Amino acid sequence: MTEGFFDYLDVSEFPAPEPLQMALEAGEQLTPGKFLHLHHRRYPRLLFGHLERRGFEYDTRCGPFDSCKVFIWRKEDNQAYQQVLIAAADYPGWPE
Amino acid sequence: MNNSALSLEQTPPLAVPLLFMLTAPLFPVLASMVAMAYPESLYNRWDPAMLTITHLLTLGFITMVMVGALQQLFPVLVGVRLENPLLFSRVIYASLMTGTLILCSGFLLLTPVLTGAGALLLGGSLLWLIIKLMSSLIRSDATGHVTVGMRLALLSFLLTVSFGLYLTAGYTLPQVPLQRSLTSLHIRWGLFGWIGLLIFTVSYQVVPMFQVTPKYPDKMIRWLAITMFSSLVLITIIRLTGLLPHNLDSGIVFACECLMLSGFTLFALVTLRLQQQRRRKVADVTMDFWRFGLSCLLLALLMLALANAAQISIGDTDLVVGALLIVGFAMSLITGMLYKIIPFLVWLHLTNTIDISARWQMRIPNMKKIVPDKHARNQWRLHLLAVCLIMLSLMISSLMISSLVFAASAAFMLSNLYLAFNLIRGAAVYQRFVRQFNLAETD
Repeated sequence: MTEGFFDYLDVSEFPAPEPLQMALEAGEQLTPGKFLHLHHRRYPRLLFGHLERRGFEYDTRCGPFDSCKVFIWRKEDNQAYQQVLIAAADYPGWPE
Repeated sequence: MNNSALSLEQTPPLAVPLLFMLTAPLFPVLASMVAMAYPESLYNRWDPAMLTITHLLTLGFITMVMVGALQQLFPVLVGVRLENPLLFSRVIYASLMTGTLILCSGFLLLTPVLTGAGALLLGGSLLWLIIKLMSSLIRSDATGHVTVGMRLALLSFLLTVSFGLYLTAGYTLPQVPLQRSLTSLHIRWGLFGWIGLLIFTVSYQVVPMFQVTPKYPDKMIRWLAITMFSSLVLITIIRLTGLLPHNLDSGIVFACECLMLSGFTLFALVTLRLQQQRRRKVADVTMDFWRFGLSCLLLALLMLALANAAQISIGDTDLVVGALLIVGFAMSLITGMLYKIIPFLVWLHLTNTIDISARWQMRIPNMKKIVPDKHARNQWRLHLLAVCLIMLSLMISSLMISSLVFAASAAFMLSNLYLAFNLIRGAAVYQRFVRQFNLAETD
């Protein structure tokens, strides 16, 4: 789903590893200035290494009902990063 | 920002878990051959062929898969990477495979030297494995319930191996008395400790992850494994020391056994309930394996409860309960999970190879294409038939129908050959994809 500055992807009803696969594919489709808002039912531990190797940055936040929100944007895409700062502010940071 | 990413280097080479998981189905095939050759052995738990069959299944299949899975899970769940993972896994694998074969040959041929040699090889390698994994757990920063569950499962494994080694010493060395009463502790720690607690711990992770169910209740995750382990410890201390008056010690043992039966019943019922609540109710062969396995567990627990409380016996209760727990419960759950784990590992390593090669536009085969559902479902039907025939053979033991044992063994053999075929074919997708697209391998 595309909403202005971001693509929204809800993978909460898919078994592993489909959420990871879908997130990586959606990341590849990001155009300059846009970020991906990923909604997952659990903390996607395996995703982050792949994102880093593919040149993405991410911010992980707590969603409603123990869900996890991951905001993903391309490295050095400052416009997308500024949008992430605004969007992610609605959710508390994921506890380390 | 979040820095909890798993690095590529933390994932062990694909060969590490595959080595164990792809070989495991061949041991039930051997067990079937033994049952075909000695059909009468199915009616006596002390029969050498029955001991052979039991250990081919518990060591050759169940432990083989669980040891492979542990080496894969450690970096992912505990955040610990084992040093020289490929060399370590090859040594453990070679010892586990040859040790199991030698031990079982010793049982079957009534040759104590072989039994002793197999036990020594198994004991040495498994103790090395347990110590290495335990020391990694102690060094790890991880403090979650997964770590606790793994520690308790490994301690249970240590006790299972120790009792097994002592029993073998009693069987092979004249200066060591053979205490058959310790067999019940060896079985309890093996089935309810090592296998049971590891299945609990892994289920808390993989059931919500692969079956899209709600999480297990927090209190259950926190306390169930600890309660089961404490009950086993109490039973062991009472059985070994005999310090308490007879009435008191049998009362405490009875209470602990009731607690264990309740705990395992709770696990089965909660898992079935969570599976009912899964979000996407699509057909999934893993679910069939799990539902059947958990039903076998519930049936075994019911029979144990009846046998303990009211002295009711259906056929040879020990053998029926043992078969329900080993073949019906543990093997069904493990087989079902293998149909998720193998495609997942192939997918994960292919994704890693794409990362290394920086060819991110490439599309990896779908999980369902790695092990086609049609073949997994055919194998499920064979497994169901095999378990039903095995139970039937045991229930009507008095009639000594060897043709029924032969049919059960043949179905069990075919089922496991089919499983091996499915898993090997699935794993081969990795090599085919890497070669086809000339990708750099992760291993």
